[in-house]
Amino acid sequence: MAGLHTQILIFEDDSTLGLALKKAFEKEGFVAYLTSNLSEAKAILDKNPIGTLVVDCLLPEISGVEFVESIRGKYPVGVLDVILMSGILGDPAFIKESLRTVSGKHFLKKPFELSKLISLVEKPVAPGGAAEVLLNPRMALYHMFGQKKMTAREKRKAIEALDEIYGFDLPFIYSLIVESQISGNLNLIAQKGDVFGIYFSGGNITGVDIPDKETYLGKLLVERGFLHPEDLIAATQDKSNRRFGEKLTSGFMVSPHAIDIALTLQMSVRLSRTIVDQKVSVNLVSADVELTNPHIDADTFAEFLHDWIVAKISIQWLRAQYIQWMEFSLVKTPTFRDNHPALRAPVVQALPNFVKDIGSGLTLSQLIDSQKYAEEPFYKAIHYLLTRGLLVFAKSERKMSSLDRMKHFNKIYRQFTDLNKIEIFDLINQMVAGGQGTPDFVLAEFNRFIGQPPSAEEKELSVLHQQLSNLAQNSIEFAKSGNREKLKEDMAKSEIEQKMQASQHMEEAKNHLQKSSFKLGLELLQKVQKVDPKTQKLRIYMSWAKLGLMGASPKPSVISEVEMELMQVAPEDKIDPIFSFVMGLLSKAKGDFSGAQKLFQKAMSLEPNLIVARREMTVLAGMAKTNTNQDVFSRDLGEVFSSLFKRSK
Amino acid sequence: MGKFEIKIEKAGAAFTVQVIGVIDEDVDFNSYSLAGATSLELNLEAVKSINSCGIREWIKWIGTAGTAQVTYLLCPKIIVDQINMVQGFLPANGKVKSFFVPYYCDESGEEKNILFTHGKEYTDSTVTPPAAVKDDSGNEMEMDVVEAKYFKFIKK
Repeated sequence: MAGLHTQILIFEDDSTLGLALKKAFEKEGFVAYLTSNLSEAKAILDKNPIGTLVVDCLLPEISGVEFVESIRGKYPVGVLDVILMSGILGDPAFIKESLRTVSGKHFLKKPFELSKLISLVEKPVAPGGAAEVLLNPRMALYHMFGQKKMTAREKRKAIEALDEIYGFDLPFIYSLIVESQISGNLNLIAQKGDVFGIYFSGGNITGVDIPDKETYLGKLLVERGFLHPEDLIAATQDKSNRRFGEKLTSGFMVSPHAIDIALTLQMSVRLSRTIVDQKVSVNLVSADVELTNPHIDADTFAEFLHDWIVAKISIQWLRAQYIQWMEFSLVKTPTFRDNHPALRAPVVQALPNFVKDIGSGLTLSQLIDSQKYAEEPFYKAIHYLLTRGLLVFAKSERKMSSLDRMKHFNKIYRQFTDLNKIEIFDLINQMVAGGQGTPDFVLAEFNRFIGQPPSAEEKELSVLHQQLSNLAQNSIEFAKSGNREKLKEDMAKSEIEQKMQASQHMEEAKNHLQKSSFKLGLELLQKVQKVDPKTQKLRIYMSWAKLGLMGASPKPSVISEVEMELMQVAPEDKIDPIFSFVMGLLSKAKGDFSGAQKLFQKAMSLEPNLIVARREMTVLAGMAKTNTNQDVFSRDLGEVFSSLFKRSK
Repeated sequence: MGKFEIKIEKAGAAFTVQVIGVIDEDVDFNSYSLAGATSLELNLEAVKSINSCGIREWIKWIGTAGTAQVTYLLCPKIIVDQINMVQGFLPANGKVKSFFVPYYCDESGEEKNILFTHGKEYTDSTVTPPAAVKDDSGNEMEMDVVEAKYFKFIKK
């Protein structure tokens, strides 16, 4: 059983030896604490995830053996490794008896070589490393990105070991459960204590227990065009005790098949809502779960997974997540095949030559530095393919040159731009400790991550190394200070103010767009993007403004920019008349008038008073009348509708 | 027998409850009143599964025990996980009398659940696992949980 072995407590009254041991461990990347005081030793054990205790047998207040005996119940074998040391007490019988009494791992007779002691302690490992020591369950989960083969049991155990994670981890966790065909309930506990759940049955998702008013069945049926809005009103007026779906099917308003499709969509959208930039606790209860209908099967899941990754996961999170893997090559797994449906996913298709390049042995860093791809879709495509198990990271043989190191440091440094000390600490914590390290641990890990200081000749590199080191040191000292909570409060206040400001700009922008003042609308939306880029539906309105500004003469660059924007709209935001309307505008811009007409109609069925959609319908009707030589509404849809929005079959 | 069952034995105000099966949205705890109990001992060994709806229902139901002294015994891993993670799953004054700890042997692939009992393998603040757990072939087995997570409730 692996434990948290990277933190060490040295309980030693000889300060010279103690300090030497502390320094030696820190140099090797461990977090080491030194004390000669009994109550302090207990406090350090209580407050920190200590994995190894190095203790002298003869101490002023208590013997080392008695001390371990007194704490052993609380820190059993497997949680705490014990190494005893002594200069005086060293006869074989004593060593044997004391090791037995405390279930100790080793006994060292003083004097000993520091390297000898270090070699007895399991070292911390980097991503993809072969060592078995796991830093924390969340990091262990992502170590799978560096392992070609894992058994279903290992995957299940990795999920079961999880406790607190980020909402952005969930797509990978869902994917692992589906791919490993695990059956059971994944219970999610939000920060406020609310409990939600997802039910899995042998590679399918059979239920999503997340309340959400936006995804009521009736609304989804109308959105998909299965139900007329008037029928929905009639069904809601039916006061019988029947389930809503039964009311609709018994009244022949929709078919049972349509209800299944809408319920599947409902599950997808509700799952999408779980993928948020917040912490959540997870618990997998393996159990037999009946396969019921409707359910999300593995193929449908793969499509939803793509949409969640593309639309929900932030680029900031991805950058921090992948910084540890920069010097690793991307390798194809046995699952990879040239005609794998995942390679036809919109985000992969949006990157020309991407599939060819990822198998060429280049490191992640080299791929990024080639600047052949837009950063955001690149990270998302990589994350999608790793999550689908088509790629893994492999250690690269390449030696980092000074220039490589420079680029690497710059990549790290750029991520800290415009961040305050708390944000820097949180980011470093995410980069090197899965977001779950104590300040001292995070600092030690970060120092290990950036490596030894460069030689004095490498001046520029040394300066950058020093800057990074100072930045980390300052942010971590701040994280340990009492000012942290105060700054957090200030940040929360400022965030509220920013959100209010963004919301005001957003409303003004909407008014401008309704009046076809696209330039003013776009300017306001750009302000919103700056102030609060997470504003809901921002991408939809940005696309409207860009298409409006483009006018009647289509520009391919604008069209592809808008396509990329709309690809990143969250599934839950797509159940909106404005989304259908903007998709209609895009179809119109691409010359697909028939598709545009259908989308405007869909927008109006969701919102009958949507004047802009009505206006566009009138424009299209006028165009159809004047264009008598060509039946514009019968063009080949597949020809014009970009593959970007087409799901892979 | 359905997929869920509760058996309650009452000796005055001392209730002994056996919970069997799957705790999910189909369970109606309203049929099992805890009113009048001053002590409540729940045997959870036969709980097979619990989902999010079941957790919410359980918290509501166990909350109706009021000030009764609640004790959980023979808790399987799925129950220990909820105690550790979900506020209110074990009432504030509740105690765990015994629970199972999964063990695994890499060599044989054998899994075993070892019962830890209060006063023997653990106290209110300490855990002392058995010196060795062996599989049927005599191979040493390892604890198959993350101790820091699994034993968290003991330090609560």
